[in-house]
Amino acid sequence: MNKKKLEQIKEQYKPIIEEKRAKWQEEHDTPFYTRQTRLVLRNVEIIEPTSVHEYIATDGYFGFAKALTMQPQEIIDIVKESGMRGRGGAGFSTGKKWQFVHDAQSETKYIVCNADEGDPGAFMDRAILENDPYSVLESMTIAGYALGAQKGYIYCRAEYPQAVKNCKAAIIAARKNRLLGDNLFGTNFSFNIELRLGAGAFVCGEETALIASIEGKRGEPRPRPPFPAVSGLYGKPTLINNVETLSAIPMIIFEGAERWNKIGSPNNAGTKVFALAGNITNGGLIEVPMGITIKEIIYEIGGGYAEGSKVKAVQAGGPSGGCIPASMFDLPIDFDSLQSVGSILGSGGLVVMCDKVCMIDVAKFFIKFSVDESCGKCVPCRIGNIKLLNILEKITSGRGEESDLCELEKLSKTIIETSLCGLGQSSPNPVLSTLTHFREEYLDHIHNRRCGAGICRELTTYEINEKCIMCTACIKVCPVDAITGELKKPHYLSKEKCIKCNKCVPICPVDAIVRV
Amino acid sequence: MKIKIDGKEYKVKGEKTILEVCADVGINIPNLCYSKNLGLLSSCRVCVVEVEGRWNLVPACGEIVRAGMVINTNSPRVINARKTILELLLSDHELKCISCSRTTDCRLKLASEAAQCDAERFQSNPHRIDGATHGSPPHTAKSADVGRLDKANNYVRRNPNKCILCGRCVKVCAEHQEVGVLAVNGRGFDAHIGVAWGNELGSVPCITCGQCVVNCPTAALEETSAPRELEGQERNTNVEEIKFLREKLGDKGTHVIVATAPSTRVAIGEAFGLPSGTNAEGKMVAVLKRLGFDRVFDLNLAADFTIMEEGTELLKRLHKMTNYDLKTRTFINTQFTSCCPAWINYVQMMHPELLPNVSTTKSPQQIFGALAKTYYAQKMGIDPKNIFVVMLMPCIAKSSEANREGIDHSKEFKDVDMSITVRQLSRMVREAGIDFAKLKNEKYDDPLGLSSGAGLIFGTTGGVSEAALRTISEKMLCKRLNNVNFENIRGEQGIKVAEIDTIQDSHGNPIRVAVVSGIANAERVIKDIKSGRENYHFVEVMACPGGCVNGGGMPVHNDIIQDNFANARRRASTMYNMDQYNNLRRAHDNPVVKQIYKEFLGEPNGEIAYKLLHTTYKPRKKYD
Repeated sequence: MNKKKLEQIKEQYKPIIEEKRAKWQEEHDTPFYTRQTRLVLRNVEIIEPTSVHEYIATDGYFGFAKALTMQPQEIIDIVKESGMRGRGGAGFSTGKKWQFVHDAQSETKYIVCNADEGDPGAFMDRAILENDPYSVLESMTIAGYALGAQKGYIYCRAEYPQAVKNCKAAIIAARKNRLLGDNLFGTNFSFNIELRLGAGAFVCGEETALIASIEGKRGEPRPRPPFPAVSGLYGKPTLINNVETLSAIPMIIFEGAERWNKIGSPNNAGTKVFALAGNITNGGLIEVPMGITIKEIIYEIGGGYAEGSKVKAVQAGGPSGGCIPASMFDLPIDFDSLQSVGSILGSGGLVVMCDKVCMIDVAKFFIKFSVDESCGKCVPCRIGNIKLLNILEKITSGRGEESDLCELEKLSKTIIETSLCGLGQSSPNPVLSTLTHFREEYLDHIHNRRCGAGICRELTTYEINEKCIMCTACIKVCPVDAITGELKKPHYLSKEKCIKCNKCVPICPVDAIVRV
Repeated sequence: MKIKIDGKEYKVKGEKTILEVCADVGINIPNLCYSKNLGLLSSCRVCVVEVEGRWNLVPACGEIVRAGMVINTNSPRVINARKTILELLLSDHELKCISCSRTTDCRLKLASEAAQCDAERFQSNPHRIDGATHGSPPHTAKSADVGRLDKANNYVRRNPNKCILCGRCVKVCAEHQEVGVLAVNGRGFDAHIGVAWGNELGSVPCITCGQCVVNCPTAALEETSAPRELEGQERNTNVEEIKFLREKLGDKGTHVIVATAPSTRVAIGEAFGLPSGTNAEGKMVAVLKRLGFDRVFDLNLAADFTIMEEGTELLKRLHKMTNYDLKTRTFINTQFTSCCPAWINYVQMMHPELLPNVSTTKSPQQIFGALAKTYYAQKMGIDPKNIFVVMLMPCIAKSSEANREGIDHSKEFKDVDMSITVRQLSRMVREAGIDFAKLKNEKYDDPLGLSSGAGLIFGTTGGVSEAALRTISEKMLCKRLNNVNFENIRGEQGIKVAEIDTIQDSHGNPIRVAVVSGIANAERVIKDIKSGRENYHFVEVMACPGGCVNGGGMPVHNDIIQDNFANARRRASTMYNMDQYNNLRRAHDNPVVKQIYKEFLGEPNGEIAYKLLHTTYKPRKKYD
């Protein structure tokens, strides 16, 4: 392969791509798509994922061809200038990271693509790997050239079979077309990529745990320093970048840093892909410029809340993030402003929650996730999180006391301050952010033994209201005969007998059974 | 460089962690998982301190001090975090401290007491432990009361309810010993130390070296002595084994004798507050007599016999033509030592092909047992069935050796009835209320009480080789050496190689000796020999790094920075000193040894000696 050949292929396949793109635009002419800025997702659903020719026709590998004509430091400078911050969640400057690995003295270095996307509800990395795997391969090859690495690893979770399949096919095709291998483009630069599958541990998204896992060890983080940029995979300097970060690099190199840094808000350049979900009309993957407000996302792209509900909060950042109340929906979404309200951008999950959602239940859900997904190495994360869960369960079962809130705050603080890795350091965020923004809901549970959303089973009772048409549908499904009555005669619900199984609620044709 | 700790400025030289610097200036930061010998684990987080400019709290064990660092070790933030972490651990810990064998030296207990923890601040949670006992399906066990004691291994018992998951045992087993039978299984709150396939420690190739036990900060790992009479019985604590021994001591019809292993005398004092490496031989003899042992003998004597037999065996091997590759003129039939029972366990399970190369000479423990039940019984006119032989050992594997198939010379009784660790003895002493430090020195009993310095240094790595070289050098050269110190095989390095120019094999090559401690190092030497990179006439292997002075049955220290190697070093140095000032430094000079050969055994490797002092080895299955 060489630049001339690239141009030939581009020439040949360009019409096909243009046609496909036009067709896609025609089919997706709704605000949900037109309000987006699709850079990272530029090829998604347009090119044939495993066709290297179609990828080349979208300027693919031209970034790499350009990089080969440059000095490594020049490439790193472009990445720095672009203002790219790591899309994995922490938002560390990608250019700086590249510089650290570049400056580390070693014959052997590694480039690792972190595709162990584990946040519940986040699937942007999956979309990229399934639909545009070459962008990641090209990016890793550029990084290999710029940082002096010869080998790359893609660490992908095994629960993404299509992504794994497409990545495998892409690696084989790239090798065949001499886009991976020895002496690429006739230079003396050689680079190879290997695919490694994770066995489904959330913590393996953490850099040092990921390294341990690739090395064949138990996926457990280790203390830093030394940072992976100095001593990473097999003790060698290692660059670890997220899929979404890598996917944007070829475009930045080919078209220049301005392509990225003129989009977005100050200090938060570029676009971000979010997985929009929850009580919203249009959900799915969206790519928007950084700094867009939550309101814009919910109304203009998401099409407002699902009917009949009142929005209460947005949960951002998954199990490491927090809940943002509706009163703060004018907040621009970027790394810094989300952190200022006790949430994080994370990998980009956005769950819209209406008033049918109990915030303590939400906190419980995420803490439960951390309890299960902690690796168990350090004490505060292993034992601390389950104690948080105990206290939350105590509150939602109606045994809470006001002192529990103080204990939640104290324990959360200790977990955050003393945990070994990012998982533990951020796992209490869902508790703390709901405590800050929805304290009255906690107090309602504690003082009034009441769950406003009607979610917490121990705190809700069922009642039959005046809408009842006396059809006996509920009587038939009740497993404990808590509802008595006959056809066309008033129905009565015994609170003593009721086991709150909720079977009667959906069966009622007129919504006459309510939880209070 | 200058740093500030708790408002006071200190000058620090070199690369040191906060933990080390603080310990130097007298600030003891409690920690559970850190050991100087194991490298950084940083899992317990108890040692966190405040470093100005850092948003979170920093573990003192892993953080290197830098110029200008401002550290707070006792601010409310630090104390609260430490207390909370300890309270979290206590909520997941079986709080049976009074009956616990580690009640005096449990790191968790000591740290929690100092931090004035409230053990009931957090409610305890049940664990889901998969692959439960006997292959039953995953079940839920309430950590605090049901638990799953792993008693399948007769010599090392695991109690997951006392485990704090520091990871020390996993690390020492995998890295120092390369045995790797312990690992963290499961994840999240249900993470636990386990063995392959959720099985028990008895069904995997554990060599029972006990390094996991001496490195355990709590009593999650314990030794058991497993005397034959108690086999199959339910034994939940060490207490029952000690009770068994006490009853034997009280039984007038049983003649109970004890022999003390070389390294025990330099370590036992530590259990009673004496500095590590104190020579407490006389006090140890006194305390054993006080506890009611009928006779107290010195195992060093049996070590002298080991040298006579093993040395003679080596001499034979050196002169056998078939042991040479005539083309390359190299020795191809290395002799490995046999006195370390954990090493024998390892060879039987992992390298059965090396069994013909292992010396057939029994270890001092078994030689003593055989002599006690034959020579001594005859001499004293006691029926050997009524003699109960107890061994005081720095070792856990010695119990497994006493029970090894084919080790006893007679089918009717065991040569060694029970082997106890130094820790177990110290518990007995405490139980009896004896003030160890106040005891007056006493002497070993006759006739098995006189021994040489050569037998004594068996207790440290290199000692067996040195003792053997003293004897075979003089035998081969037919003259007395002025200097019997072989300095180049002393020291705590894992692999020491020496070429002894003064003595040669029958082809004129100098004798090459390798001295190895730690199974990981042994594995390296075995690989070297097999690949032909190295050849040795004689290889001494001790399973524990540093030899018996760092054995699995030694007292556990609670220094703020745990460093078992440093303690081992001090113990070894005391032993070399004792040897230096001993008039008797060669095994073959020992008048008792000479007398017993003359009266009873005949000659080394002779017929009776072969029957009583030698054994054979069978391969063993790795997995049950």
